[in-house]
Amino acid sequence: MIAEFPPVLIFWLGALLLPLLPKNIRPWVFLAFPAASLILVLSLPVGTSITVEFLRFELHVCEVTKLSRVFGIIFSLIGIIAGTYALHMKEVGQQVAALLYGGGALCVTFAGDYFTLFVGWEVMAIGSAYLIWARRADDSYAVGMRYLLVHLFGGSMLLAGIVLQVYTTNSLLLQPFAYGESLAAWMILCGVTLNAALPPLHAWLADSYHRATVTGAIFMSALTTKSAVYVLASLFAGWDILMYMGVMMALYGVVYAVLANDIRQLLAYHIISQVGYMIAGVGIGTTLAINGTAAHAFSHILYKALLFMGAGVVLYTTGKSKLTELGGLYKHQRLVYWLYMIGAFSISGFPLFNGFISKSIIVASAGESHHNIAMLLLLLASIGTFLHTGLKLPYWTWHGHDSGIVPSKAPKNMIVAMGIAAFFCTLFGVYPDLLYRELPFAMEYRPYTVFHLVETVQLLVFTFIAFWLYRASLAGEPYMALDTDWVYRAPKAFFQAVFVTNVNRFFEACETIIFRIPVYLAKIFVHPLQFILTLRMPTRDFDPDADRSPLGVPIALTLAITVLVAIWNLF
Amino acid sequence: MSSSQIPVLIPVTFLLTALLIPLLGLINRSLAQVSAVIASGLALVFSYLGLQAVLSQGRISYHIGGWMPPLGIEFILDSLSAFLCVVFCGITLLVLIYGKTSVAHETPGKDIPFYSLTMLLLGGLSGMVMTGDLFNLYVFLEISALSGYALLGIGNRRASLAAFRYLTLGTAGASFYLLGLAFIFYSAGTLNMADLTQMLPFVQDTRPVSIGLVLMVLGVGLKMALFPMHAWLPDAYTYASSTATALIAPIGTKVAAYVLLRLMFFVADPDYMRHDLHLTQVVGYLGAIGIIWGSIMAICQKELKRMLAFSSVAQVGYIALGIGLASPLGFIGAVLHILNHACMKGCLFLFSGNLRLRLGHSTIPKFSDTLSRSMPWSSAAFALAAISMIGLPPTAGFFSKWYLALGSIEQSNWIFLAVLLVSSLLNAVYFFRIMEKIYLKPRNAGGNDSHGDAQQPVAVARNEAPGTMLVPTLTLAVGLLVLGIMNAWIITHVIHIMIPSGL
Amino acid sequence: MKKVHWIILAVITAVSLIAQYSTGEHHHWWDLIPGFYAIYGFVGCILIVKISKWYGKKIVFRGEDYYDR
Repeated sequence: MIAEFPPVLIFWLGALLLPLLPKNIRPWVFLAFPAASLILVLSLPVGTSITVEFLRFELHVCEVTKLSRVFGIIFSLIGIIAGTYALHMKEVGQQVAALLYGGGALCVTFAGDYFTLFVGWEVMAIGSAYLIWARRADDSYAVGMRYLLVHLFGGSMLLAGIVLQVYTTNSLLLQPFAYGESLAAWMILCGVTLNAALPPLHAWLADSYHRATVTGAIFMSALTTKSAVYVLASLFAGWDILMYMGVMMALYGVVYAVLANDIRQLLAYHIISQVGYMIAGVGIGTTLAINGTAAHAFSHILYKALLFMGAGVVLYTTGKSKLTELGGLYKHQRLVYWLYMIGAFSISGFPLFNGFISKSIIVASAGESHHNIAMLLLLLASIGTFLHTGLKLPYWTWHGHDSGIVPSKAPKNMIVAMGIAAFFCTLFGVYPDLLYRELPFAMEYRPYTVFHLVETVQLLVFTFIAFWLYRASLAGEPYMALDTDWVYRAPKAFFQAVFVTNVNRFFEACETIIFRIPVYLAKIFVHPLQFILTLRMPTRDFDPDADRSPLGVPIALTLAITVLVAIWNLF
Repeated sequence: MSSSQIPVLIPVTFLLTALLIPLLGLINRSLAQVSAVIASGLALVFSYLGLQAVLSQGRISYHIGGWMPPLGIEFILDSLSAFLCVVFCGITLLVLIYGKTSVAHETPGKDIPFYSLTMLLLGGLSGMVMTGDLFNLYVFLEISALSGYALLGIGNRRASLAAFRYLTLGTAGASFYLLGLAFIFYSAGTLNMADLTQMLPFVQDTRPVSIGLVLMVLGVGLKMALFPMHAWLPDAYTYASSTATALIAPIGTKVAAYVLLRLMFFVADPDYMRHDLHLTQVVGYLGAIGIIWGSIMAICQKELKRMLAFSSVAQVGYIALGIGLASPLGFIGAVLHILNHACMKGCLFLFSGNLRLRLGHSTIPKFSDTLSRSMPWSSAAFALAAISMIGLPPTAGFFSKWYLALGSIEQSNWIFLAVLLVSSLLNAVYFFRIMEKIYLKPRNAGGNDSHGDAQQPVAVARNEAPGTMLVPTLTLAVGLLVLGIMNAWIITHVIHIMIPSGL
Repeated sequence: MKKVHWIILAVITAVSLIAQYSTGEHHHWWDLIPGFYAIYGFVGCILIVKISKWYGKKIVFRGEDYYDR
């Protein structure tokens, strides 16, 4: 053991030091921090517990369990890979934001008490919001602000739950919750599932991930949702409602991914689908299911990063990311294509890659617990996954009709990073015990059985055949699919639709109250005084000279209040 | 000099320097600022010694002229007043160091009256904090108010308008206070605070006393900028010179808040205030409304100082909310917020002064990311202070809000809790708006980039504020972090002692 | 997709069908249906495509500038 301190400090130290270094060595020094963190995490033995005295409480800033350790390993590893991918990027703001963000994720993972958890949670929100703003496109400000406000809202719910929990139990320690234990548990669940992008609280992910920077999106695809999954797995294991919501979420993501036109938005919806598997695993709650959740999170981070990196290369070299505008790139980008396909094979569950040895654990655990319908639905979601990520996206991006675009040369570090990720995807696929050793519970599951191979092969081959027959209808379409963020983005349309019954009436009724108000208020805030006086939308901005109230008004108000309070107290 | 003289030494230092500065100024102009700095340094040393003495011995009392109270005037140093004195003198010292360049730049040729008035202002404010006699408090209130009006008026024509409005409203407030005091004196027969604490329970059910207390509380509330009596604040803060604002904003309203704390928890019986007079609830709810109103109005402002002014209205609302809770947790939250807000607002107004020096304006729509590159340290200080205002750990702002939230839950006051959470979101809107502009917005707006990464930034020359201005700004910013991390120590060793019995 | 690719796929499918029969390992009642997963994959894929397209066309598709109007 080298030393004993929370890994988050390494990342945050990096965030402080990096701006002080010369521009050209910064991207390389960046890599040192996740690397050091990985070494630290690997060396900390399970059961390490670091506590700090604070106010009346004892903060457990670092608790190493088997579950937190495996998440800590993958978060550090992906930091190295994403850092390699970003070696060409020199902007210090993004580098610092990424280090803050990564540190926040490690802080959440190893937290043993709610205060540490919350600190990490908020830092993650800020770091990731910066990565959206840093894109500096015309709409980046609005997207980033929406993202930040949604996450601060989720953070508020989490905080409210934490405060309630501390008040009722007088303890800051993280303890698993029994099903439906208390109002505090439900509020914390709401705050955490927002970060995990559980519908209907998921629209922020599909709205913002494809608008983040090319390099920032890699970090975002790995950290926010998976750290939330970790919290769910450690606190809410066995909550049945999560299983149903997880299965629904897996299918929801599939449908929207099939509809998506922007390749990074497709992958974003795919995240929602795969996290649905993980949440379903948490809901099932058996040791096999939790193992599956951890293994799937681990593998998912690797292959999702690989997929986003591939899509990022396309965006970086062609300037385009819509399926309607792409096509025929294969002849220019063979290596990128095949590296992407390794990621696609992984996620689809091809034998020899890491999806085969991880996703199926959750499906098997559903079967083992006799949740047969859930199992079949999760298999259906796998079919959809292969369809949109392994077939639709690569076919219409690199093959399909030739768009005539000649992409520019991709920086070598991006390819190397993809290679590293592809290597790990294959390594764990071929030698699954390397991963299984790190899982929380003992593993008796064996992925390479004749039955499993047969099942997978038949599924994949015939999905491919069906795709081939329908491939023309799966080309990108130049439309946008409405999602639940509609309720806070289109108030005009709301007034029209209020008399039309919708399928998701229940979800919208809740969110209307919460999400419509900020947009409406923003218009009022341009000139609140005018709104209050005339009760109409303000016509002009607030002007300090024109809107200064005459002296009589505050004096009258003061007198009025004094008189009222005096009268109230006299009688 | 023994520790028992400290209560009177602090105001006297300031007042004497106020008289000295015009004389010294005749010899050499620059002596004005130097003497002001020395005086505040001395006052800081005295306050610190006083705090140490109080923490070890207990209350220190000084009788002016040797006359015994309740006839004579008494100056008292207890843990609350000692603590606040240290805070205020510290901020004063930093701001006056800052003033060297800033005053010369914004109001050239007026430094002698400026520093002299500053010393008068602080003499008045420290007198308000130290005194143990209610009428004496009124005298010092007027001293600080009149010098405050004059200080604000030093500047351009608009500053005079703002000063006039402040004068009118401030005088109204002071008059309310005096009238209320007269009623109380008539009923209780004494003006000394400690004496009054004993006497009030006998007379508190009579009409003159109830009305008197209402008048006094609301009069002080006007000075504190409690909603809706805050109308003087935006103009006053916006048009005053940067140094003047940095002095008045952190300290002026906080001293009034301190007086309110004294009145409602120490002089009058808290239970009476709450159950019979309902004044505690009135103050609390006015504070809550002020929080929301101030935050909303801050969002629509285009000028940084005016935005910070409305933000101050909101922050004073937090203190009022803490008072409104009338519990130990609320008290801790209110006092902690007095400390935190003084530092946060001080730092933010110093930042706006840095901008005015280098850019010539502090208009928000004109900010762009050249600012973060030409003034990186000031921008970093701003970012830290903004994070503290929003209330993110481990900065100081989080902890005062935490205590207020705990206090609200303890009393099952869900309205207050909702107000606290909503206001953090609103704060985030108007602060992040600025941070996004100074860190991310390119100077030529609307760069539609298709490659998904920002173009390489154009090199911008470093044009940071000078050392005398930068160091105080950074000190306050770093102080916010330190205060946040040390807040446990501060609460257990200093604030817990001050919690009044009866809460 | 050249002819040789189709032939390879056909061979793989045949092998899997034989393997499914010969191993006799099953966890659920539907595992015993020959080629169940092949049918499930094929039908499931078509189902997903059809339902998603219907959902898109009838319910959620809008112009790309929908929120900017």
